[in-house]
Amino acid sequence: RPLEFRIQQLKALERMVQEKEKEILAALKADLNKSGPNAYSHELLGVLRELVRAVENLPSWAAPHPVKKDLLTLRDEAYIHYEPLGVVLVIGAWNYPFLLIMQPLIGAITAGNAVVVKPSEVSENTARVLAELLPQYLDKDLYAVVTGGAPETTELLTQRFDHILYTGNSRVGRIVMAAAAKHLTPVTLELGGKSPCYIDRDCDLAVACRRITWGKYMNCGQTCIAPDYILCHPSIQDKVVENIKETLKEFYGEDVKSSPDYGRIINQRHFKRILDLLEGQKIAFGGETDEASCFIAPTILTDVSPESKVMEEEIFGPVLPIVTVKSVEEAIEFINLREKPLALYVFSNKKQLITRVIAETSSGGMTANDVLMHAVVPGLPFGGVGQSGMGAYIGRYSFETFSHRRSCLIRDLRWEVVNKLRYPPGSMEMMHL
Amino acid sequence: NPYGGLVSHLRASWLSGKTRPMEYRVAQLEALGRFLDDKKQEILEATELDMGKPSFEAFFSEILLCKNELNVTLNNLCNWMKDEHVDKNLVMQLDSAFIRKDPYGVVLIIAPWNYPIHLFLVPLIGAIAAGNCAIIKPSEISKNTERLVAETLSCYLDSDCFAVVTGGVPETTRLLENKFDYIFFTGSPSVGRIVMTAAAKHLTPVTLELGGKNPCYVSDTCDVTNVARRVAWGRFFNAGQTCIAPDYLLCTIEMQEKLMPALREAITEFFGPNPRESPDFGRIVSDKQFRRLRALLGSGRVALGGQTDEAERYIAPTVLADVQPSDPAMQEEIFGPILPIVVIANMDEAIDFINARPRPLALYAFSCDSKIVNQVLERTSSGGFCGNDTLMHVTLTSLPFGGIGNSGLGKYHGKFTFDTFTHHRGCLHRNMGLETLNSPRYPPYTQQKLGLLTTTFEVKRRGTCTLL
Repeated sequence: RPLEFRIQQLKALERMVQEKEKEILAALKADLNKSGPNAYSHELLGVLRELVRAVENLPSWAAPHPVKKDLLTLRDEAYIHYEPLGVVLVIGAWNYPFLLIMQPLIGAITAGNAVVVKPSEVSENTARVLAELLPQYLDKDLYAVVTGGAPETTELLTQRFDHILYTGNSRVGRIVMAAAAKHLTPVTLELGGKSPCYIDRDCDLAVACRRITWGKYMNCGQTCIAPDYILCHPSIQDKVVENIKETLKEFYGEDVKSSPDYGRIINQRHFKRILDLLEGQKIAFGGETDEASCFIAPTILTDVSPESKVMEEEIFGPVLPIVTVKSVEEAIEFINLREKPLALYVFSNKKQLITRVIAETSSGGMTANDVLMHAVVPGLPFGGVGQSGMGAYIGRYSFETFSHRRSCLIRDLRWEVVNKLRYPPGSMEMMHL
Repeated sequence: NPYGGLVSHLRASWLSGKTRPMEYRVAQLEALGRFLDDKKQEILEATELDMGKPSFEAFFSEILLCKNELNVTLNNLCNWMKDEHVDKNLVMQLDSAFIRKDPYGVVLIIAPWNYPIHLFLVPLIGAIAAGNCAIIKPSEISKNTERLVAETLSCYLDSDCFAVVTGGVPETTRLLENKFDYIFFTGSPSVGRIVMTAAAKHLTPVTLELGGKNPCYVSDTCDVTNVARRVAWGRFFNAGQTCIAPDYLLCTIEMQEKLMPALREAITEFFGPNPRESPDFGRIVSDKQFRRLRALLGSGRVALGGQTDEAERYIAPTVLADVQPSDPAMQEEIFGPILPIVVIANMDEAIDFINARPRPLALYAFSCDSKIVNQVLERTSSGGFCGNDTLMHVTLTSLPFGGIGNSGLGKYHGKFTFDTFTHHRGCLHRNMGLETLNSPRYPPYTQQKLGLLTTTFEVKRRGTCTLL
């Protein structure tokens, strides 16, 4: 509980990231073919940022928060007292395997909890590195790593925790919440969905497409907030394809497969799943694959039908379908007919159009005129809504998620006179006082 | 699916955007205010029929506290609805970063019988304020109030967006099969589990206001008269049928001796020599609850009260002395006008006793020594805490009201209700220009670019002289 202890643990984690950088980067490369600078900027930098923020802000976040009093409580002390919840379970995902364990872990420690961490077995190298390193730096009595797959996780979920934060897909999200319900355990579920990206005719197409290309093909499309599909007017579809093609060359060179900056699909199962989605589609660009190395080239599909398979599930791969719509109204309707996504993107020079899209849709979070970036703004909560999740974390929101806000009213034992009003025998005249 | 049509209808209204403009929300909230004003007499009568609720109490909890919540909401709604702008880092100075307050959609509010108007109305205020449509499911056990709400609420609220569903367990189970965008439940932990399990099927977020045994520690240094009055008030309000009532007392044997005459005096002061004849003392809501409570009277020894009358469902304000932890009265939430006293040797033993049990909704500590009150606060965990009084912490709308662990998850009252029914959506509106600022993030990745990114995105430690 003491703040000094928490800060000590957080600083130990900072040392771990700095001292063991090589090992962590090697694991990320082995799991997802992430290159050094790539892995560093996408995972380690975020972790270090979160650590510094936590250490800096802990004293002010954890301080009792006085509240406004009313006539009856003027003489009392009224405040919100922040307390740890107890033992927290963090279940990570494989796509940003280091980041998605470390960020919640930092939040849970900052709030004063004991933590059990369950990294994804799919990103096995990172899981192993975490299992080896965390006990070396953190207090073993309070923080533990559990490794394993579905059977181990199921067993773990029968235990009682005081909060569970799960990052992954909706199907397992349901299972986690149902297991939590047995113990009345609050949950934060960071799930996913199909994050739409609407491109207005009135926008700087070159810039828009560069930003979209960056967000879509980062980590080979395996990002929960990646723009999943594009909605645009048929008249600009070809230009969009051209611009993305150009940008891809700029980013990854002529031979994408040999670029050190382009990732791979995590495993055979997902490789086959994504390949399946290409069936019957008009491939405007890309489509090359290599099963042995789980390589799928950056791919763009045009004139995609809303009913096709690729439009039914979250793609989570380097395949970008374009669905044409005649207007922003049609785009908004299209989006609202579907489940609420984790992220939503809109590109336009028209401020009014952007305001309208925000007002008439719902999503976990959103960015206008860029992609992914709302997730790195320190003051914004990161989380989903509806099928894309519940709860939020990052920064102060992590602290609040993993804390109990206990209301406290401390009164005086004297001054009974004021209380007499409320005691029986009561009368309506007294009430109107 | 018997309720599928109703839920679809509300969802269609929701999708039409009807509930979103502030004017609409204000109009609905004002209508709720008129409901409370117009139907005041009916509410007092219905709750008296349901559980003998004294008019004074009914006015206080069902009308006054609700109007407070309504007024706090109406006074602040404009501000609460506004986008909250947040701090930005170096590269985003020309961008707009804010939190948008989005409604969830169609929400379900399930209320219990003990404060049958308050416990659906206060959540409903937040749901409406946040721009949602809502289905209200009042308790069938407080059947007069249920009928009143079912028959009259629709005259005040827009029936395209708000509906009342009546019925018992089978009806509620069918209702829960539908997909809601938020579920707010007040009731027992066992039903709370059922609600959360049903919600999990649709990934519906929930707030559960549950209960437990709220301990009340009385130290040896205190003003016995005032303690007795405040504890008696909290315990016997609504004949003990209050989720935050002090459930049991922990004190030394000497304090038990001192408290007894003080409690007797407080009870007589409040309800006269025969509480059965007092208009200010309630009754038990049902035969089932009455029999459950009567069985608890065998715990310890009856020091005060103990009289019962089955026909009236009357149980006298009762204090049980020398109760053992293994006694029936210590096995379940009492929810009746019975106050067991468990004797402990000192404060440490009291704290250990409390911590060995599930975390309660409320925790009370009485002492003239503020250090003792603080110790109890620091060394225990509970939904809320009140030092030197009972119940009062929930009347302050600026304090969040909710449980922890078995006593619940989530919180409400005041702005917290609005926030409960709001999705806080992180939004970033960037500039399409200044593309060169973005170049460090694009492939091909180089150490040089990484250096630039680190500099612009890093949060630097603010110097080492931070005194804790």
